[in-house]
Amino acid sequence: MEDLYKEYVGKLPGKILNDMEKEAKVRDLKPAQVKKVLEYLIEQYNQAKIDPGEAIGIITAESFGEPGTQMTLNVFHFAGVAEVSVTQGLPRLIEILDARKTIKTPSMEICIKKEFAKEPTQVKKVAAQIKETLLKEVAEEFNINVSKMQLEVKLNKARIKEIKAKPEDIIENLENAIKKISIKKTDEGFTIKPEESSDHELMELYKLKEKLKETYIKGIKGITHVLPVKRGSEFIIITAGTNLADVLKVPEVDSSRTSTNDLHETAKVLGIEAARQTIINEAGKVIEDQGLDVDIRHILCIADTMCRSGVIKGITRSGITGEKKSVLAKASFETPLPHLVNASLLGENDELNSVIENVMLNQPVPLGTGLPDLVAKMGPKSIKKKQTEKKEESKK
Amino acid sequence: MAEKVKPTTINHILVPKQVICDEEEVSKVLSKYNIRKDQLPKVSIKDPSILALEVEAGDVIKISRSSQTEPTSVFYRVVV
Repeated sequence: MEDLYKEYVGKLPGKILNDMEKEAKVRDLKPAQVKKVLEYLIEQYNQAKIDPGEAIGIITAESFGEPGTQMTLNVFHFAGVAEVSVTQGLPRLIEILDARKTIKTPSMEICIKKEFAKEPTQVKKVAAQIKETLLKEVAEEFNINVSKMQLEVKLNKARIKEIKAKPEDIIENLENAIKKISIKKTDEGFTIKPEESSDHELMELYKLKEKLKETYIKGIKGITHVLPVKRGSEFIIITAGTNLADVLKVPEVDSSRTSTNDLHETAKVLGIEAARQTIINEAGKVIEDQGLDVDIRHILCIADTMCRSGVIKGITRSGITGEKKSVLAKASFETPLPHLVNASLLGENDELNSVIENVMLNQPVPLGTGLPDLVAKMGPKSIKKKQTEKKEESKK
Repeated sequence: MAEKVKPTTINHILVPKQVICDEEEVSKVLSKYNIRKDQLPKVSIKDPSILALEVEAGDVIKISRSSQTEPTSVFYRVVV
């Protein structure tokens, strides 16, 4: 039985073979019957294959375009009790396909190592460590002492314990962030004094206070919100804001399953193959959330095309559409005039090898039955030979 | 001076298994699809997922992905 299946490896896709093997066991088929089914499967499989010259790119575009018209235009949706909003529907799909550098709602899904993922309290602790903390979140009071011309900051001890920060670390981070201040530690917090005095001292002090409130002191930069969520049997953390490289370094984080929805960041940290998979996952998520049905092969086609060159290229005039050789094809996508003007200034040639430019010129397009051409090897020698042959024939 | 850290393979669900493809297989693939090496899909030499392989430009990487349509689908990229 095993050998029978081995015979068909390469003739049929592995998934079909696996399914067949399972089904045959359930139905208790005899080898002869299995062979019959497999032969029939090959016939059907070969019929289902795409023909040479089929315009798969256009079919993909149509398959995305039609359901796209039915997607909700409602950009914000709050998933369950989560306070983290995620871009969905058509706007998100456009973001993915254009490969935008900055996306509207960057977000991460952080998985925690198994030993920490069971207890909600432990997950919360990890979440608090990851979240980017600003000084205003750990400070209880900001006072301006007018007589001494200094700022007095009172820290919330409980909050500091929660994020595992030491007052000394906070002071160090503040000194790195803001120049020309001297900080002294006190019992309740610290006092801050500008090193240089100016004419508008009080004004400066007030400005400094506002600046200090927004200063980063602890956590991972870029992660603005954290939200522990139960998924299956374990807890994961969903974040707003993303910083994959730094989050993967956190010891409690399971670095093999944590992911972000930012394509370019994924490509930078995990490489182009991971970015390709992210495109597939994210686009698939959009389609699924909207309750639509687009075949996975269309998404694979787009993802492969976007990652073909080793970097992510969106379907924009600066991305893969801009890579087209034909001037007319580029002009037909976006901003036709600049393309035509540049091409005429540079004296570019158009080989008319693709579809759209031939449609414009009312010529047969190289697709399907229009694809094959007659090719004859006609070097100068063979032409001469034929000519002499003809002459000899006419002489006769 | 900081010691040069040897890059390690990334262990991540999004990163598929990648190995350097030997010459024989490369020529097999190229003749199968009737293409030149530079017509293969590309991968940057600085790509973090292949740093550990210590590749050179012109090498072909064999990628075994797990896919929704096949248990493992094989893909090739040329290093640039």
